[in-house]
Amino acid sequence: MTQESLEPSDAEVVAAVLRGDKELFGEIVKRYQGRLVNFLYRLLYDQAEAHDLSQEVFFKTFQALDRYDPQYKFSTWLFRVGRNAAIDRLRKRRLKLVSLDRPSRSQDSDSAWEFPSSERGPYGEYRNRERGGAISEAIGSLPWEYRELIVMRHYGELSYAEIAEVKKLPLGTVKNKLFRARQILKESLADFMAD
Amino acid sequence: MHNRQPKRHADLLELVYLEIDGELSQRETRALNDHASSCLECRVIRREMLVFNSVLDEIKIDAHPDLARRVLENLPPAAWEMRRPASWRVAAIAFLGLFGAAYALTFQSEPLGEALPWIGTLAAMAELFGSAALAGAGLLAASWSGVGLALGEILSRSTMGLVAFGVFVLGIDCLFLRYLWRLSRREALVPGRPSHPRGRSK
Repeated sequence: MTQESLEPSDAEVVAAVLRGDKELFGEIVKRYQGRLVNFLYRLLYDQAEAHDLSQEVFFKTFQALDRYDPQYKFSTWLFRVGRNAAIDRLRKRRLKLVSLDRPSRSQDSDSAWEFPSSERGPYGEYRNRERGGAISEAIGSLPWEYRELIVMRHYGELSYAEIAEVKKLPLGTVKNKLFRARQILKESLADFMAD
Repeated sequence: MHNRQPKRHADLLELVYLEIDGELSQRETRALNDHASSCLECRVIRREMLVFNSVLDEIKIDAHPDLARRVLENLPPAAWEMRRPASWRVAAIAFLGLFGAAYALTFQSEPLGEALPWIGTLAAMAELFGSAALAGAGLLAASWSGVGLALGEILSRSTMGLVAFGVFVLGIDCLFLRYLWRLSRREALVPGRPSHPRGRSK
């Protein structure tokens, strides 16, 4: 028996939380925090906002935990909530840009996230920043429907079936769109794929 | 998933994507390997795709080490927490207790072998509940008429009393409406269940 099979499934953890073991919700958070933060970060392009929103998504799922149907994957449910929250946040951000008298996000955010510096020496820092910037830009310039699928697959680490469920699309459409999105990305990043 | 054989390079490119994503079956992977072993171009495409994937992974970030702790410390109260499963268990245990008492009262003088059918017990139970309901209704009526008399006495003394009572009732109504509004807002925020039967968990 492998180590993985000894781990309780998401449905089992959820059932235990619903029975009153609230602390076990931390296990769910630990399982998905990396994927969710990356997923939201690639949609919002703001690390602190991605963390704020991840918190909100976990809160929302906790509050609606009794409605989770264990015959479906927990990940698809969580990422659907995350996707909707990100779309809402982007919509609000657009409204804020229109309204000039409102404060910016950094002013009204009360969550002070401090992130460690990722500097790796002058050369590495410059090279990584250039390459990282190009990758981010290439993903950001994809049409929304392609960008969302790439982000779900690469940063949310969802399977094709899970993406189909979150997006409510046929599996074949997901495959085709992902294929097309990667072709576009590959062309944009051709210079960075040589080394 | 259909069984695909890599015939053309365009097909192969799609298969390589699927392979990297872990979406190919063992049989399909074997077929792909067989083809790639004798095709240099396909091996190059495969390598390219692996590099492409690792390039995309380079910009992954780590979740903040405090995220899980912050989530746990700030978990909002959930409606389901108020509805503990113990509440129906208490009712069920009380019902069974009453049922047992009724059974014992009905057949206390008779040996079990000569007991009447279960219908007798049910009739005794119904009678017991009927009496309890009647007693409860009487008590409620008496208390309400008492409250009514007291209120009538207070309100008939002055107009100010009547106005104060009106404001009080209006306040209660407003609080109730606010509660209903918040409840509907919370319902709107709650995510729906996935409606597609695909991608079920194992």
